[in-house]
Amino acid sequence: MLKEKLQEVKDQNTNLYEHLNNLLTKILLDNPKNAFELFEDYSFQVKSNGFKFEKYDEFDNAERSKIKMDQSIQQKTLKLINKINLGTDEEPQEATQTGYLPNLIEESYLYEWAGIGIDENYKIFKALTLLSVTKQASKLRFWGKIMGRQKDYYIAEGIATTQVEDGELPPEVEPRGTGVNTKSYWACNDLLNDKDWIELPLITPQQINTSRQIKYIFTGNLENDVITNPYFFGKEKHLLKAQIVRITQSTVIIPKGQYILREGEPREIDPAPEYKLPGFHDLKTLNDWIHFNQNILNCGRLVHLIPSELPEGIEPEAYQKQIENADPFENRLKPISNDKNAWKIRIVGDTTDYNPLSKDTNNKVNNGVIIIKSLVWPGLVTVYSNKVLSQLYYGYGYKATNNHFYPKQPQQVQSEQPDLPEQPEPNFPAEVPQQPQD
Amino acid sequence: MDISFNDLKFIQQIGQTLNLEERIKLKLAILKIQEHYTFDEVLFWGRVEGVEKDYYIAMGIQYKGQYEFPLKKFYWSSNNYHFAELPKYNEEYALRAENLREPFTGQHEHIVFKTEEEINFEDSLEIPAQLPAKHFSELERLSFVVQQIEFQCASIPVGSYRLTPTHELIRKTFKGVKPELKNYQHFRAPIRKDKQDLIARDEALYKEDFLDSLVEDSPNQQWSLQTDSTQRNITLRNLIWPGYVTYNNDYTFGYAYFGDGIKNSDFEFLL
Repeated sequence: MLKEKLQEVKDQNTNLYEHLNNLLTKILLDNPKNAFELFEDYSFQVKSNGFKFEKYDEFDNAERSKIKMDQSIQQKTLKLINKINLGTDEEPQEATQTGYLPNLIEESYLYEWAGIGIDENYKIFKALTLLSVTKQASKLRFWGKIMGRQKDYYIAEGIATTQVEDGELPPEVEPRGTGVNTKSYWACNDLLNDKDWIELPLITPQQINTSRQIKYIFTGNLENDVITNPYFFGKEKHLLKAQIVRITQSTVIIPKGQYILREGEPREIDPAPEYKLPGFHDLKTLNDWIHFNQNILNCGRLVHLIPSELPEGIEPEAYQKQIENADPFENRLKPISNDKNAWKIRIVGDTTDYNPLSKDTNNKVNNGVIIIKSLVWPGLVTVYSNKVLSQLYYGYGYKATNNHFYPKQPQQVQSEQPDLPEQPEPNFPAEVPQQPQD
Repeated sequence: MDISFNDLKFIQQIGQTLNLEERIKLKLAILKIQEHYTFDEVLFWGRVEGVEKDYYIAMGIQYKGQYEFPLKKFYWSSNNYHFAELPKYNEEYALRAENLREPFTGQHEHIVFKTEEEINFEDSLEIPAQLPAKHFSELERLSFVVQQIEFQCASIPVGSYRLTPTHELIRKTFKGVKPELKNYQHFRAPIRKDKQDLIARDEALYKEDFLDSLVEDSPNQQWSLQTDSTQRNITLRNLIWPGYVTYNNDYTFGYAYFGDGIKNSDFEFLL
């Protein structure tokens, strides 16, 4: 009797009895904790979604496509995590050897103390291992992540040992392996796609100088045009490489004393003989750290260009002195405390000195973490703890500016000269051939 | 962000996180806020980094009994993890602070602007007494920046809250949204006419997107919507206030700010 009564109250498709059935089924299936508060909510949802009691075990199509997508992603992830297999499934081919790659998992623990979280660090690590095998790159490391508007870039730094033909380079471009193009960088959008690591191209001094005048947020697509003023002649991959090189050249720091200047050639450095990484207490202030890399000169290169054909009457040495005075080198291994307002240093973690296991109690163990962050390139962080030194960049790829950035105004387009007023054509009478005079 | 800090993996997509010490101390300190003032929820809002010290911000939300939009109250603390209420800021000087590009120092008494006001009053003996001028301190700058970020950026996915017949907001069972910008809305009392009308006509009770949509924000490119490699963990980042993230996956959602408190006011020139 009650059932018939409830079936009277009806809409087009359903009636109250069915609605109550469907509603209670949904609540029983979902089993939320605060079902009482959400009762009206469920009623509304069931009405709008048309949930039916009989079809409770059918997935709707949206769920099914989600599951398919999940499956393909899980398969790709599995392939990444498994042992590297360069062949196919039937004929597995092991990777022969990989270059040096620091253990990102251990370093992530240090970075967590610094407040830097490396998402998916295991996948990055495996992807880098694969890169090291396929491109035969030595001294590979995870350089960092540059966030972009549509996608982000994961960047790896290393030295590629496979021979690459660059073709004819203009004379001012520093060739591969020297100057600003010493290290190679690879960028990747999607970690699960191993073909995605693309090596960034060589850059020219003009590109470096233009990149110093613009401020740009990357889109995430390496082949995009960069529309700025002054115009950047190159695609996003060139600008990306230029920014990466600028960041690396000005922010890599090492403890004082690890390298010394070479005698006679103050621009070169050698590892100091018999050097041991200092303990925690010796690195607590900014004075203990020095720059490792050379600065990029104003001309956009690391060393000046001496043209092969000098104008007459000028000696090569005099010419070299002249351009060096105009665009001087900065001292190598200069301490970072000289850079005004450029660094901040923090100490976190457990800073108690523990006695080591061996009887020698002079070398105490300290697990404190020293963090140095750059204020000029926000996102650059160096961590040091227990003899492990590491550096990473997680940012947008532009410098911190004190002023609002305004791009340079494009030059005035000169107005056309007004046309000269038209002059009437000179109208001489037609020439009459002169009669020969007698 | 919930104080169980299970959601930190989303913030790691922009490279930020809280270390062990911060998590433990923040959780304790935030629970202490509940002792003095009972909110429906007390969440961790974010961390503003300074040169010497950092600031941690917590937010208490009261849903019940609030008509139209819940009440939000902000608390700040320095590295001593002792939360205090975030004070009001001086409105005139605050607008100048919006485009400041110097980093926060971490000292909350640090003076950002010297104000020229001096408060004079005359007591009965007609000797004017002058109070020392109250300068615009870094704490006020922090307060202003937090309110601005909350107003301009704070956003939630569509379908996460609904409006009850008494115009209170309550949380719904959240099932996830597709990663599209139209599926996100501002977590503030609506200021746009169409949504206000919707609420006034009570149609908002049956709609999921009754708050200001992010699609109508200008410039539209300030929002960057990305997923991680599993394609399930979605983060929506803001490029004008870099460090702000709204995140969700199929089970949870939230937002937080992890940055240096400096606005990219020249954003339009960076594209």
